[in-house]
Amino acid sequence: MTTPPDHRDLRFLGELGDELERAERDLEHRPSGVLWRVRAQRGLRGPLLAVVLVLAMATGVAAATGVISTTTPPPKPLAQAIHDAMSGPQVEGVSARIRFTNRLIDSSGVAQGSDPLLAGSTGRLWATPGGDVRLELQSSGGGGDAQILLRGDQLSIYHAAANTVYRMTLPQHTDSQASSKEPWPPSLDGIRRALERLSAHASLSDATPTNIAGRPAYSLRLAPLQHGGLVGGAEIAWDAVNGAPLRAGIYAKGDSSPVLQLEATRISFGPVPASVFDLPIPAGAQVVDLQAKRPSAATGPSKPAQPVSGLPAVQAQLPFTVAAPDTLAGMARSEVRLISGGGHAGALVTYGQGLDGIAVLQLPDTSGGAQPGGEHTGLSLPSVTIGSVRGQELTTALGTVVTFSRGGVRYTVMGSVIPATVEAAARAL
Amino acid sequence: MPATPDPTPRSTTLPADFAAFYAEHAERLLVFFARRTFDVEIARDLTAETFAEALRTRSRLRASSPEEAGGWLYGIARHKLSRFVRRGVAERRSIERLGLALPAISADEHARVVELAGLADLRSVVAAEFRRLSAEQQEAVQLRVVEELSYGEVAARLHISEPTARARVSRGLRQLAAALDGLGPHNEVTA
Repeated sequence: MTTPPDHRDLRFLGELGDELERAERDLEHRPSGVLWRVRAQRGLRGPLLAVVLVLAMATGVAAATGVISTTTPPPKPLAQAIHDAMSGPQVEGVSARIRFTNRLIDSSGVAQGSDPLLAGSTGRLWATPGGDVRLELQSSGGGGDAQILLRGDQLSIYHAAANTVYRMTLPQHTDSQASSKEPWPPSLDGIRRALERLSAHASLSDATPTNIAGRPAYSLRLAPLQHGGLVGGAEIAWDAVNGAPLRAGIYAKGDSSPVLQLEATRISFGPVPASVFDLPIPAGAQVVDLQAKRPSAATGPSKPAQPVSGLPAVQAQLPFTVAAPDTLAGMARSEVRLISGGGHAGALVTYGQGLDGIAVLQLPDTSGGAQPGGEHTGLSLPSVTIGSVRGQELTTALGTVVTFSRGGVRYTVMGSVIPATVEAAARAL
Repeated sequence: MPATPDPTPRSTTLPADFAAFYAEHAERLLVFFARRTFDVEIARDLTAETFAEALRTRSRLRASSPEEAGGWLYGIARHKLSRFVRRGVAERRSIERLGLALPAISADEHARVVELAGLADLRSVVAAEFRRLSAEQQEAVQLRVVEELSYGEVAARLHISEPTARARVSRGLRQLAAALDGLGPHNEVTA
C-alpha cells in the first residue's frame, strides 16, 4: 500500500475531501443509507416492504420539516409551481452555505488573485423574513473575506483586501399603494398573467424539478427574446416547499455554464440571531459613502427628484460639453440624462435599445490623471488607445467597458457587446 | 481525512475507508481529467462529480482488491468524461445531490495542476497525434470538438450521414485518447 498523498500542493483537493467526508456522514444518517444495508440481506422482502413504507412516510415528514433529502418535486406547470411555493409556510430565517461563481472576467486578461468577489468563492449566507441579508464570501488565498450586508435600506460591502467598507442607501419603493392592492400570496391567475407579460420579453422554460442543497426545488430559465446583447439568459431556482431562492445565475450567449451564480450548497431554516447582522469590521477600516448626491438644488426635500433629460436641458446644467453624436457605432441616440456620480453632475447618453445598446457616462475627471483600478480592486486592466489618449478596457463575458479621460472629462463607454464595438464607439466620441 | 490501510470503498466498511480511497486516487484522477479537458476547473468539477457518484453508488461495488476498486472508479470517470465531451458541460448531478461545495482553486494550485498534468508538453503531443489522424477524422474532430458543432451539423458540412459523422469523431477521439493514455508521469488505472 502506498502512502496516500496529503495534497499539500493542492489544498482544494483536501477541501473537496472534507466535503465528501461530510457528505458521507450525511449519507450514513439518511434513510436511504439504512435501506442499502437492509437490501443486502435476503429473506426480508415482506418486512422490507413495511420498512420501505414507513421510511417513505418518514421521508415525507422529513421533507415537510426541512430535513435534507435528495428527492425532486413532481413536475408542475410553471405558474402552479410558483403559486405553491408562494403559498407554502413562511420560513423564520435562512442559514446557508453558498457557492459564488464569478466567470465574468477572463482570468487571462486581468490579474484577479484570490479576491472572493472577483474570482468566486464559497461562503455563508443568512437572511430573515424582514429582508436582512448577510453574505460572507470566504477568501481561499489569505486576502480576507468579503462581507455584503443588507439591513433595511442600508447596503454595506466590506472588502477585506482593501480594508474598506462601501456604504449606500438603497432607494425606497414608493408604489406602496399599488402594491397593497395585490393579495398575498398572488392568485394562480395573477401569476399566469404576470408570466404572460414576461413572456413577451423573454422565453421561459418549464418549471424544472431538481434538488439543490438537499431541497426539492424548481428551476426556471429565462432568455431575452431580443436586445439581449451578450446575455444568453438567467436561471433562478427556488425551494418547492417554501419558495426560498436556492440558486440564481446569469449566462452568456453560447455558454452553458453560468457567468455569475450564487447557489446554496447546504441550507437550514429557522430564526437567525440578530448578532449575525453585525458586520465584523476591524478598527481602522476606511469607510466610503457611495450615496449619490442630488444633481439639482431645486429639488425639495419632500419631492422626488425630477429627472432632467434631453441634450439641451442636460448641457445647460453641466460645465463641460457633452459628447452626444446623433449616431454611435451605427446606433441612433436614444436618450440623454443628467446623472450624479461621486458627488458631481454628469451625463448619461445611451444609444440603441436594451442590452444591445451602448451607454456613455461622462463625469468631471477629478482623479488628477490616475487610472481607475489598481491593487485595491485586484484588477490590472489592459490599456487601449482612444484617439490621442490612453484608456483602460475591461472585457467580460457579458460586455465591455472602456474608460478614458480627455479634456477634464472622464468617459466610460459600456455595452453588452463585443470589445470592437465599444472601442469604435469610444473613438467616435 | 484520516488514512486507513484499505482504500477499497465497500458499502459495509467504515466511513474512513472512503476517505483513504479518495486520498489514494484524487490527485491522479484530477490529472487524468486535466490531461483530457485541458481545463483545470473542469477537471476539478469532473473529479468531484466522479467521487460524489462513487460515494453515492458504492453499495453497487463488488471489488475484491484495491485494483478492482480503482478500475470501478475510473469507469465512472470515463463515463463522466464521455458525457462532458458529448454535452460540453461537466455534469454535477451527484455533486448537487450530496450538496458538495466545490472549493476554489488558487493561482498556485492551478499552476501546480498544469505542471502535474504536463499540459504544456501535452499540447504539442496532441497536435502531433491529431496530424496522424486520417484527413476525414481530422475534419470531423475539428468540426465537432473545436468548432463545437452538433453531429447533425458536422454531417451536413461533410455531406455524410450523421452515424458516419459520429463514427469518424469517435474513432478520432479514441485514437487521440489511446495516444494520451500512454503518456505522462502518472500511471492511470483503466476500467
